[in-house]
Amino acid sequence: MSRDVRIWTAPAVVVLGFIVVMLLGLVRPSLHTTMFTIGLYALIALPLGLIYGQGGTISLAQGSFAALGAYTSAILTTRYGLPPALSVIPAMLMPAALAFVIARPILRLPELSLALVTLSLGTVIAVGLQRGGDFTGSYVGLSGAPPLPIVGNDPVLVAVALWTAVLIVVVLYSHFVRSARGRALNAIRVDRLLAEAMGVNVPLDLSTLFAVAAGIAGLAGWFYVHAIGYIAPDSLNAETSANILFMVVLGGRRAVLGPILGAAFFTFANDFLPGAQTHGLVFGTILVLILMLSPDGILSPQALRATRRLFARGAPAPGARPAAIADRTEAVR
Amino acid sequence: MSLSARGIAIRFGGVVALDGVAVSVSPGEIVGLVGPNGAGKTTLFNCLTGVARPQEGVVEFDGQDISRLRLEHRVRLGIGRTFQTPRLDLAGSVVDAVMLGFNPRLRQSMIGACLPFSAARRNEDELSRRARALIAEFRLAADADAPAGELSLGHLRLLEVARALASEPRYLLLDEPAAGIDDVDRDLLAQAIRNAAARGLGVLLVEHNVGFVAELSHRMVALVSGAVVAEGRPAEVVADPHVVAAYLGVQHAAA
Amino acid sequence: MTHLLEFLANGIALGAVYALLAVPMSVVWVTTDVIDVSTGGYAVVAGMTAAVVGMPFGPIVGIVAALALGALAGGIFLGFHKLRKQRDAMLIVLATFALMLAIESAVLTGFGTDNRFLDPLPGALTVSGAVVTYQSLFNLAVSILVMLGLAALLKLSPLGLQMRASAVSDRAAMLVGVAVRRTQFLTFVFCAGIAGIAGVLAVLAIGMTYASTFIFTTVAFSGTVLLGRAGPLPAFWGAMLLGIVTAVSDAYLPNGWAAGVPSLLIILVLASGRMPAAAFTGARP
Repeated sequence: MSRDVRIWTAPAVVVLGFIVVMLLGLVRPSLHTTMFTIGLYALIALPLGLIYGQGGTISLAQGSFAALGAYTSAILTTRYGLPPALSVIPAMLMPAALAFVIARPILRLPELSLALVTLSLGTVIAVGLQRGGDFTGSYVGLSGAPPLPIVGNDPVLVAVALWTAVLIVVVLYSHFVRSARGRALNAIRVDRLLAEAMGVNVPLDLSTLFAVAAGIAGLAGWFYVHAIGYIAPDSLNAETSANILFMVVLGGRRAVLGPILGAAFFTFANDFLPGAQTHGLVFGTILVLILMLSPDGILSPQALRATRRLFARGAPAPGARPAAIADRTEAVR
Repeated sequence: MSLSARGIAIRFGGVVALDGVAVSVSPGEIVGLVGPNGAGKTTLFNCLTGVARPQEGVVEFDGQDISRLRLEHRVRLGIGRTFQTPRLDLAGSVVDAVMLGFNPRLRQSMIGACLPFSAARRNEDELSRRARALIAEFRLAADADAPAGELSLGHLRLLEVARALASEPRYLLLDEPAAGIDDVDRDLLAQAIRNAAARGLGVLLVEHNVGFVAELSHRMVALVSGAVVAEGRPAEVVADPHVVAAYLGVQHAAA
Repeated sequence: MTHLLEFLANGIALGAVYALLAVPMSVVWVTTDVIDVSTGGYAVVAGMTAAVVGMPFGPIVGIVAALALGALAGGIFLGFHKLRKQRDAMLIVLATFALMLAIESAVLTGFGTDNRFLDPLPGALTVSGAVVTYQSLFNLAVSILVMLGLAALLKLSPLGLQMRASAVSDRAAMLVGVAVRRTQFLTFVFCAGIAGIAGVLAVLAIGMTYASTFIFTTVAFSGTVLLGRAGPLPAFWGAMLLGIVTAVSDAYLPNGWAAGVPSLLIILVLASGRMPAAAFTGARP
């Protein structure tokens, strides 16, 4: 039964954190915009946490998938007059379909190649967007995208809408990791042969999750373009993908909340760093150190276990203790 | 009804690992596969399970030709296997390791896995209970919630067998499950294998310890340098001159 | 017809520079199982430094800077092996990726966004109507010389022997007394130097900006995998082929599309499954 309660920890933290920051935003309105940025990053980073943290598969294309979603929606709404409420579907499906198609052939190879191919994919997409002429707005991009449905341009309402999406993803993610499918994905990360021996169709599962990750990134892109009003090739690109990876690794790739923590850290750190040029230097260095010293990031399984033990000091684990003594004496050699 | 391989020939580069080998196991039967190092026992295992693709030969599951099927599909049909070196998430708990074993029989959709209040959630409690029951059968209940990495090698091997049994396979393939474990665990293992066969599973057991296998099996197959040199009742195979020569009398004491 | 010849000549000249990016990356890869994503960074740092310092010492200072960064990467590699007992090269590759980001940012901060040039060798040859600059010929000559030097190193020197032993199996090499970690460290360093040479040649021939970091890494990796086999020789020919394909695409495709060619080739080669999985995990005992 304690398992059931723990499933709702992450969503609860998200709701509480959101409420607290939004309330603080009453005193300091810029926090509402910050929450929007963190929420966007969180939406793009959470699926990476799933496929990398749980599945051991890196994607350095999340930013580019978000761009595809944004551009798809921008083109459909500005050129073809589709309302944003409808364009959200193709904004999610387009990157997902592309991801699924490209994942299938290369997922036969180990993670290293997928990482580099996804990085290359980002370049190809960027070049395509830049050379797309009037259709994609070339280097300038597209502007004049209509605002989000229902919530319009109000920063508070927009943040609420975005974080509702984040919350839904967190709930789904939390349930997924505590399911048979979640165990299967974990097995893929630990040992592919083991996963196959447990009946897991590794290429299909990974391609599906890769596509889902791309689709959710596309949703983030949709939020982006309709909240901000325009999209350019540089808005969401390979650099974004790299930053997203940083967020996932720093916050904790194995924890559901990890990517959100990383997104928050990244966003706040950005405000404190002098000049945009030095970001790469600082984040790159931090990333190297984390990878070397604690690849599981801040919310690592060890750290989480330790805090759990701290809080559970009073209550012993159900059933384990009484049997222990009897079994131990039986098994004495 | 059986899991069988016929005419299996497999070459790795210039090395002939198996040359025209046949082996089969029927439900309720315990078959022991013995042979010195490098004889091709694990390779034969891999051919049966789909990890290796022989250049010649046919693998059949209850009459169905599964030679073209991949490992995960064969497993879903009802083959459970363990590995020579235990393959587990050492950081995960013992219960989780066994629960992974239920996967071949589950038909959980991705969507179902994500949703709260779904069948997947109710299943989790059921699976957890069944996993703990299996763990208790193998006398590992004390370590149920501990990380698998804390277990001794003997307990890890027992855990692998428990996990393989979790999917209720028709055929159980065990790759040197008794290697490096002490008497208490070995007895537990033997009992578990006998129980499985009694329940109708066909067990194919690869093992270096000829004495252990001879005591347990209904039938034995001896493999030397990629070919079957003896097959039949344990007493006969153990006494077979080819087998004795291959082992150079090392296993005398164990029998 | 003369145009095609000229594009081919340009392609070969370009390929010569690309080879000095792809070959060191492949050498590090087979020796350490790590794909050094910061290869492009070494080239850009060398080129930028050379441009700023100017002739005659610029190239030397640039290459020294590249060597220093190679030592940093090698140090990170050693750090990983000391601290973590994992057999997974992925974390180290990610670390080199982070290093590339850091280098790119440092270059941007230090040198700004300007396109940097060094004055190339003046003059050109005309061969059957195709104009071939002396700089191109120089680049080709340097590239071939470096390749020969590398081949000599690998085949004839003790370090080369140790590198090849480490490439086959680092465990086995350690067991027979090869100083594997030191060898691997040195590999990082001098491969960075080779990439540095590429950077100097590039800043002479085509110029560069901070953004060239990622572009050069992509070029290096594309050349490395193009022929579907890991190793310095396939990388050399792969890079040459890439240079020719890029030059020809640049001439015949609409403006700007050629920039996507190396990346597209990476996707096509890896997606086609022609690169054997073993290349990515290295030999294990």
